[in-house]
Amino acid sequence: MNKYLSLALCLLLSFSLTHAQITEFKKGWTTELRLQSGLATNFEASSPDVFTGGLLLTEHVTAVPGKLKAGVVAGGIYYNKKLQGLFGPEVLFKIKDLNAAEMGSIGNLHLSANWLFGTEHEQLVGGGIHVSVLNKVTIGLTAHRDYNLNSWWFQCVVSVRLSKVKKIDEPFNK
Amino acid sequence: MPKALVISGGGSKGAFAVGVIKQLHQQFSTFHFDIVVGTSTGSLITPLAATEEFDLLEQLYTTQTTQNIVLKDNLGNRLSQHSIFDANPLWNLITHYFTDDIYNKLMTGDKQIYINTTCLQTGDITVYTNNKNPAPSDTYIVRTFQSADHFRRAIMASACQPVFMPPIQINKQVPGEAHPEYQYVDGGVREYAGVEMAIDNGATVIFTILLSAETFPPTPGEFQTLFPILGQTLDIFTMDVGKNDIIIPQLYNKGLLYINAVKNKMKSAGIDQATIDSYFNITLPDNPFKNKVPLKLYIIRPKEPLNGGPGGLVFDPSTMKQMLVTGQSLTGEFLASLPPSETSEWLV
Repeated sequence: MNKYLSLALCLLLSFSLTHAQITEFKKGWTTELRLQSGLATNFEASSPDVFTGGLLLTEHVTAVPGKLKAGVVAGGIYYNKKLQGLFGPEVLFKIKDLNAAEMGSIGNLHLSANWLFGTEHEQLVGGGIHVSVLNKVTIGLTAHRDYNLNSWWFQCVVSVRLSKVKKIDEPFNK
Repeated sequence: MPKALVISGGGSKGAFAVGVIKQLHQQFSTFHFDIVVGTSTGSLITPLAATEEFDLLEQLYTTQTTQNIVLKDNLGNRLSQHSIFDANPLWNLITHYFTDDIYNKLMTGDKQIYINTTCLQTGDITVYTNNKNPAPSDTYIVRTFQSADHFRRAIMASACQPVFMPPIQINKQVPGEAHPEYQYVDGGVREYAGVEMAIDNGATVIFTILLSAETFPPTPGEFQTLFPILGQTLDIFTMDVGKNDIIIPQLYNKGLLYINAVKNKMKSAGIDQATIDSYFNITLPDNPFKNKVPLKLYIIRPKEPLNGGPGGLVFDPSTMKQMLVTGQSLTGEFLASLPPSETSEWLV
């Protein structure tokens, strides 16, 4: 039974890849500037929640067109009254296209997962849910567990695309 | 008796026109058109109908999917471009199927083709043709193909619905061109069906294939978002332009029929032909009836909407096969309704 289910899923995936036009998570590289802000807590009344915010650059490449991007995140954050660095790998998994009838799409809904290392020994594992609009701006909510310093980070994220969209060559207008 | 085939615009609905052509050819294999006029999807059909590549036409209009014609994208990526879709796949099809051989065949053959476009800069209807001496017109500009590339660009422009598909610089590579920068789009913006071009170039039997339906049944429910409203607006616009394109030739033909009836009455009253001619062949600068005879103007169109999405830009092979069958069966019914004396007239 599982074999048939796997086969059906494979066929479904190959159908979606070959027949549906991919308008989100297209092939190529994307650079974004990410602004994030939120709090870190260990859920204990004795220690107050602390503000955390940051400005990071992200670079992703599409690994599976229409589905998956992989990349890196690096930048500066303000945490625990200190400026520090944060970096690590990240993957993005698209869960839904926001379609514009037959015209294409206006964005997508995707999940992120990352593993980030801070210069003050933070080790964060987590992810979030994001809405990308017009391939220009992404907003989202993230949650991370710092398993080294025993705290949780909850943040709002706004990203702006920095890399330009490649202009399509039109041989009929040359 | 010069015979013309006029094919309107309608994207994937062109499959219906291919069905009509197929049925006409099947029933009257010796029947040939002298003039073929196409707008938009009609311009893609025109060269192949004129060169009688019927099998290729059927193959083209029953196998293509939307991504063989246009590529969709995130609309944000298209904000700095000049169309919502990337039309490179259509250009690839045009360069593949509208070969130099077809161009040479058209330029040396005895059939005339007319491809309708609209110039974005001037708003003029510009008709591209293989006719080296086309009839002049006050209402549109006529230009003869200069090369195979020029011919392909004209077809591409005619097929490109503005906003959805890019405008084309048809004359960019034409040596000595005054305005190589001018951009052209779908002729359907101004002229949905080019009946006028067929009349001006001497056709007296005109088969017009319209791809919009006779009736426009109310769409149930409320339009709540932008894109369905845009799609519906396009359909209403197309229907209205199509109606206007047909009303004028029909009115013109009524004029010709009226003049003919008066002439016949004068003749039966004993007035000689030379006197009758002297009354009617008045030398006016713009006498639209001079040396014209009443037309046989046949209109074949679907009774119900054919689907095909907004502007006919959804290409689904199974739907298009169905459209082709609809075109064939409606044409069969239409031909069966004509008196045999009428059909035998065309076959002469």
